[in-house]
Amino acid sequence: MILNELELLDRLTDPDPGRRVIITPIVNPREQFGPTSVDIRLGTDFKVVDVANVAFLDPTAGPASDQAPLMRSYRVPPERAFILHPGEFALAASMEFVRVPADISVRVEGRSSWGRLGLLIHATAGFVDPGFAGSITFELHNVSRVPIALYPGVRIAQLCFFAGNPTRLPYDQKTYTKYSGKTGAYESNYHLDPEYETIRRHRRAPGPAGR
Amino acid sequence: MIAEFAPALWPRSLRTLATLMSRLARARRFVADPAPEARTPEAAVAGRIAERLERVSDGLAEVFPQMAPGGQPAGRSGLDPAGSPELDAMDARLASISDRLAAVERALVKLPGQIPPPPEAFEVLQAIVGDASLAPLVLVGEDLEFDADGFIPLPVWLALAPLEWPRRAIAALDLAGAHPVGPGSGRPEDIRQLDRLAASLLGPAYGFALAERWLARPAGSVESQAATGGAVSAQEPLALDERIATVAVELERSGLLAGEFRRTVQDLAVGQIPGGSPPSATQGSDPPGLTAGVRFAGAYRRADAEAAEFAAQRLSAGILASARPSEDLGALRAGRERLLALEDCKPEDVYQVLDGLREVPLSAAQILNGGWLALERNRAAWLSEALASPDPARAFGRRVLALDALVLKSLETAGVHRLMEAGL
Repeated sequence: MILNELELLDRLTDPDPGRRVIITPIVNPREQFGPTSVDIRLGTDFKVVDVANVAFLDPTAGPASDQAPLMRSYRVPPERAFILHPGEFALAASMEFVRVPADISVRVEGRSSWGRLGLLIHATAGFVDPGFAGSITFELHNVSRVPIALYPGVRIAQLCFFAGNPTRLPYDQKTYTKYSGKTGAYESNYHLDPEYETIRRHRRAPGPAGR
Repeated sequence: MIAEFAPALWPRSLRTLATLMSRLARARRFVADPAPEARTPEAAVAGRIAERLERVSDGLAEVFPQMAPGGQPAGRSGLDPAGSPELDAMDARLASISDRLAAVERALVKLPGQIPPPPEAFEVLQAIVGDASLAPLVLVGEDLEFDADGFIPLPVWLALAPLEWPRRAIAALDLAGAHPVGPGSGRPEDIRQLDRLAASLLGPAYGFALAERWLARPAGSVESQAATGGAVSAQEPLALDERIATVAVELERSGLLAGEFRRTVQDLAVGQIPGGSPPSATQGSDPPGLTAGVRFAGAYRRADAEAAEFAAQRLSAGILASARPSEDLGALRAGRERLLALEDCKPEDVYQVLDGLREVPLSAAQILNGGWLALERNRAAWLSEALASPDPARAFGRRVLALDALVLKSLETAGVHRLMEAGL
C-alpha cells in the first residue's frame, strides 16, 4: 500500500522510534509534499569516474577492482553548480538523510521537470529496502545534448513509501549490506559481492576448469 | 578532509588515553587518604573524576600494559617514560581549576540573602572540571576550502574547545542568574570577587551570560552608569556593565581567554542590538570592556545548548543532525487528528498541518557542539566495544570516523538548508 500524505505524516511523527520514518532536513513541506510522495533535494557531494585511469571494470580483480581510487570527488558549495555534460554519468547524494522502519520500503523516482530535460536520476537502483538508513544515492545521467547545471538544494527526485508486513531481514542487518548508514555519494562496492570471490577461487584452483 | 585528519587521529587518541590513565593515578592519590577531615573540596572533585575514569580504566589497562594495575604509570604517561611537560601542565591545570572551583563555591556562600543557585549549576561546574581531565580528540577542524567559500563560518574558539562550550554556557547562565536582585542582598565587593573567579573558571561564557542579562534589561533602565558617575541602580547591587568590565579585565589578564573573547565579540558584531532600541548619545549602550563600537547580536543562550543536546542525541543514534523540528511530535499528531475529524478537508487545511514538519537549520557551532557531546558520551562504550575486537584501534577509529562523517554531512547540509530557507 502506498502511503498518502496523512499516512506519511502519521509515520513521520510516530511516537515509537521503531516505526518512525525519518526524513531530515525538511526545508519546505509545501514544496516537498505531494499526494503520495515527498520531494528530496540534491546534496553537495558528487563523484565521477576518472576515465583516464580506467582500462575497464572487472570485479574479479580483487582489491584492484575497488572503485574508490578511480573516482574523482567534487564537493559543491551552495550557489555553485556541478555541470553534468551530455552522456556523462555521475554519482550524487541526497541532501536528506532517510531512515525507514522494517515495514516500509521506498521507491526513488525522478521528477518530470528534470525528465523533460533529459536528466535521469537513477540507472537501475531505485528501490530502498526496509531498514535502510542514510542518504539516497543518485546515479545521474544526462541523456540530452546540452550540459545541465545541478545546484545543491534543488529538488531532484521524489520518494514514494510503501507499507507492508515487517521484514525480519532489515537492510541494516543483512549479511552483505554494503551501503547502510552512508551519508555521501559512495562508489560501487560491487567487487565485494561474494560471488566474485567464488569466481576468483575457482580461477586459482588447478585442473582443466582452472586458469 | 577526513583523510587529512585520519593520520593525526591515532597519536592524539593515544595521548588522550595516556592522559586518562595519568588522571586516574592522580585522582586515586587524591582520595587515598580515608580520613574524613582530609576530604578537601579538591579531593571531593578528584573523587568524582576518579569514579568517571574507573569506568574505562580496566579496558585501558589492557591497551597500555605498561601501566601498573593500580593506575600508577610506569613512566610519567605510560607512553613517554621520559616524562611529558604536556601532561605535567594538564595536571597543574586540573589542580588550578579545582582550586578556583572551590573559591567560587566559597564566594557564593559568602553572599548574604542570595537566591540559591540551582543544584545543577554545581553539577555542571563539576562536569567542567571532569572535562578538563579528558583531552578531546580532534574531530572536525577548520576546513579552509569551506571557509574560503563562506560555507562554514567556524570561529577559532569553537574549533579549539567546542565540547566545553555548552556546559560552560549553562553553568555561566545559572551562576549569573543566581545573583541577588533585591536591595541590600549582596556586597559589591563580594560580587566583584565572584565575577573574577567565575570568569577565570568559565572564560568568555561567563561574560556572555552577563551580556545576555544586559541585553534583556528592562526598557528604560540604564545599566551603563558611566554617564551618571557609576551610580548603582536600586535593582542591582552592582551595575551589569561594571560587572562585564570586571570580567573583561579578568579575561585580559588570562591572555588566551581574552583573545577568544575579543574574537567572539567581533564575530557577533552586527552594528545593532536585536530587540533593543538603537543606542543614543546619552545612553551608554556598549558594555565597557568590549571593543568600542561593537555590540552583541546575541549572547550564547540556553537554547544553543539545547540545540547542541538535540544534535548530540541524533548523532549518537547515527542520524543526520543538520536541523531540528520546528514543532514537537505531539502537536503534529494532534494536527493530523484534527484533519481526520474534518468533514470537508481542503488542501490548505492539510498544508497548514504539514507546515509543522518544517525543520530549522542548526548553526555550525550547535552541530559541532553536538558532535563533541556525542563523542564524549559514547567514548567509553566505543572503547569498551573496540577492546573486544581483534584490532581495537581500528574498531574505535571506525566509530570515530563515522561520527566525523556524520558531523561533516550535517554541517554541509545545514549550509544548503540556510541558503534554501533564505528564499522562503
